[in-house]
Amino acid sequence: MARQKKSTRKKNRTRRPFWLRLTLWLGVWGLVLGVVAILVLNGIVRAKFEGAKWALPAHVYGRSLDLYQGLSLSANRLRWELDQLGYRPVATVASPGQYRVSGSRIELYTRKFQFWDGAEPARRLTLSFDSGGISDLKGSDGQLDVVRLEPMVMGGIYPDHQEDRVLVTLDEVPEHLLKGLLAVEDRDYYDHFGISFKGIARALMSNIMAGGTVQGGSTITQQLVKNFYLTQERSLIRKGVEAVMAVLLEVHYSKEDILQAYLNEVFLGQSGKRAIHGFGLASRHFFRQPIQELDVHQSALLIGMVKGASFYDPWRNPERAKTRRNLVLDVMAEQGVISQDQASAAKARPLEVSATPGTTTNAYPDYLQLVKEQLRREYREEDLSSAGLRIFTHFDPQVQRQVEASAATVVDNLEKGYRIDAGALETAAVVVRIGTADILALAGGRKPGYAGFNRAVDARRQVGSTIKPAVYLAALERDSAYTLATPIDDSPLSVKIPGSSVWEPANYEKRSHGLVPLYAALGNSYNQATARLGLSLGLPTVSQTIRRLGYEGSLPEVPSMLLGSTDMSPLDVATLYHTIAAEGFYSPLRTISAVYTADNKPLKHYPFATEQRFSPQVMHLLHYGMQVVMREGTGKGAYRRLPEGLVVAGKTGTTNDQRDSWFAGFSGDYVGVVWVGRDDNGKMPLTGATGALQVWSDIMAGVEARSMPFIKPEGVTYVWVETATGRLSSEGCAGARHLPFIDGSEPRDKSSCYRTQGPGVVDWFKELFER
Amino acid sequence: MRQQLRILAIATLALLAAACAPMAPAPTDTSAPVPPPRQAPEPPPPEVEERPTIRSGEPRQAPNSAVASLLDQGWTLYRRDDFQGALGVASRAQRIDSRSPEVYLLMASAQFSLYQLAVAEQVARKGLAFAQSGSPVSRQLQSLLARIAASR
Repeated sequence: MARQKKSTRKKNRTRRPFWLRLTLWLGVWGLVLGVVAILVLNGIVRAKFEGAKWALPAHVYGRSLDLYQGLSLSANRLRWELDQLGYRPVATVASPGQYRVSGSRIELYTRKFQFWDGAEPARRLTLSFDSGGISDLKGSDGQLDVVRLEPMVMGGIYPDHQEDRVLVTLDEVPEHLLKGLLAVEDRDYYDHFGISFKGIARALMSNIMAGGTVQGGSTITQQLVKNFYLTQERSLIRKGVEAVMAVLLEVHYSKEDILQAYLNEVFLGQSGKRAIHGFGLASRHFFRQPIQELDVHQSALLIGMVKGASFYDPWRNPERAKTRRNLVLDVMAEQGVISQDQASAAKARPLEVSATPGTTTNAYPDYLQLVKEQLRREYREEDLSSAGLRIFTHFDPQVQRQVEASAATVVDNLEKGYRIDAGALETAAVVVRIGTADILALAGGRKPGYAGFNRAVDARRQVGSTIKPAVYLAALERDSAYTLATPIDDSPLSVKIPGSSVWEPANYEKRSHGLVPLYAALGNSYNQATARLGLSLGLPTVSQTIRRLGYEGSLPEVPSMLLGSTDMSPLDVATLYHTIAAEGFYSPLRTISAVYTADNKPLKHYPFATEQRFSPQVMHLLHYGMQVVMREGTGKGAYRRLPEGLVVAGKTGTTNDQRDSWFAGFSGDYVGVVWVGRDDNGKMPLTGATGALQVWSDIMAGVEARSMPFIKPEGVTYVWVETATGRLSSEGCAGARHLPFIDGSEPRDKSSCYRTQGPGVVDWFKELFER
Repeated sequence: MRQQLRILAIATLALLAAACAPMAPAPTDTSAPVPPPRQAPEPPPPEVEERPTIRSGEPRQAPNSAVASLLDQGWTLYRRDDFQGALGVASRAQRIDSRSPEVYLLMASAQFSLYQLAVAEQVARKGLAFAQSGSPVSRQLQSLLARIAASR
């Protein structure tokens, strides 16, 4: 019996047809594989969505502009800054990001901004201007002391794939944008589970009715899956995977989370190599405005671009973009997002995209290079390019704008004026704020925005006479031996260099001047007098002085060092001159003020640091001598561009065969260093005075520099001196000059005119301050 | 030209006169010393220096209301032990008036509280270079320097 049953079962099994067994087999394995695939996809969906969704580039900010009564800022300059920040001129100021100009007043509604050191709220302001700048600053509750504008993004550090985005949260997105997006892209968003057959059918109908594609068939969730997880490949398998992942995404996450991710992921344009992703960045890129400030017609344009960012690019295809925008506005009205009247009003408006892109990767490459060099010493490359760091710098777009304009136009004019081949000259410039040591602007060449060789940082050229203040500073520190009145021998000299030739420096005009007062030797940049002075001090003393001023590079101690044979970059020279301008306090020059994480947690601050290296007394004397350069010596040509009453100090520099033209100097606010020369180190018909000084004075005039505060410190006494002999004299005596001395170093010998009165003293210093 | 120079001279005198005008009293106890690190219930008050006597060149203008307001904010942060915040606000004030000894007093006090003794000392010295000898702010900076030296 048992054998019979067994035999029957065997017969039944053998009776199943092959196709059935194959189907069963495939079905079981298909099910297993399907479950495994879903589990794998589920893992992928969750891992990416719950981790850091995007590699966020670091955004580099410029300085914030503090507005206060007394700020030397014209209404035009403020308007320029507001335009750069995307503020809109309007008839009635009603919300953040708007301003109105009325005569000498500007009404302004600032934006809120999370600074590294605190939050600045949005405020309504009224600023009044007079010839000196801001004369009054009022808020809605009365007088305000100080308000700061948000800084502009001056650059970024991008990941290899060059995706850029500014993350937004749902509550930052205007309601009309959200609803409009859903009306056009996914009307049933809140009703489906990732896939909508109804939506596909409706999109088909809408497109037929509209005579074009106004609605996509994929849901927002599917689009996010495609962009976020998959490739742009068009295949049935990819579509199937997309559908499964869309459902999985809906199972795990809320509609709000998915919509927010979509808003930040969607591709909305291309700017060179950089891809513009998300509505947050697109708003800034196309309109220079934060997303909160978008009007209906602007939102409609961005919504329309989801369908094809390049095809509907408003700069390249404005008519096509406008047609698409108006189609979106019609859908928004039809779906009740906006009224018909609102739609008609919005359709009547122009596209109003910004004249130039509101976001750029590298508009200021030379400054950004300096920032990056410092960051790369302190952070890993992947953190810089993917962690969304917020880097706050001291970059001043107003000063940079002037530096770029002066570099381009003055160098152009020099080539024309001196009949130099067009394009043969190059230039570099650095501007530093005195006291804070902030690098405000930097130009590595004459072409603004050109990312090439950064001459301001990387070009090392002989500095010529711009080094001379260090020689005179070393002398004036020995106040028992040298004062501004000490006669210096400007006769020819020759120095035998061991193992080399004889060094015979000569004056520029090839003549000697005999004994000259120390201040005049500096003012007129006499080479022979300076060489003699430096040799008497000793090369190590001068070398040490240059080091104390802040130079850290190579400094061969050879006699020609005294006349500037050392190679330095404009940035090096700016460091030395900042120590001089800051009255003997050395400070490392700074580009970065702070680095913060994407969620505003501090990583590093770069506070002000300083070190007193020279006494205020000796610096006062040196400042006097460097003012003589500007009033009577090689720098006086600056006053062709600068106001006569402006007190500035500086020094020209010209190297052998006029291969380099330098000027370094300072006003009350800024140290500026300019170099002009040829990249091939060729000769030029330019000196420091006829070349670099012209660029420098154009910059200082353009930034409306203030006079340097030439304040006599304690321990300095002014006495009248007969300049020809260095003896004590009196006001009014022939050849008398009012000179500062470190207490105890005043001359003791008296001239015959001492304590007598005489008429007609000409002394610019006394004229300026004592009339 | 001469007319312009006369106007400049008159303006300079006017600025000197304005600078010599008495300033509003400090809001806190002016005799409070600079506090030691981390134990400081009361920071040095933001006193205003007396004006210098005769100096060549332009007199330093009195700290404007923007600087005074920022210094108030900075000292408030300092009292809350937010020394980085105080430094940030002091940096803003420094950008407006880089010759204000009161700004350097705040900066140096914050650095001292952060145990950055070398930086604090040099910043205090910088403030001292701009303060008139014998002025309240000068005394506070001297006191701070003494405390820095004692902390080493």
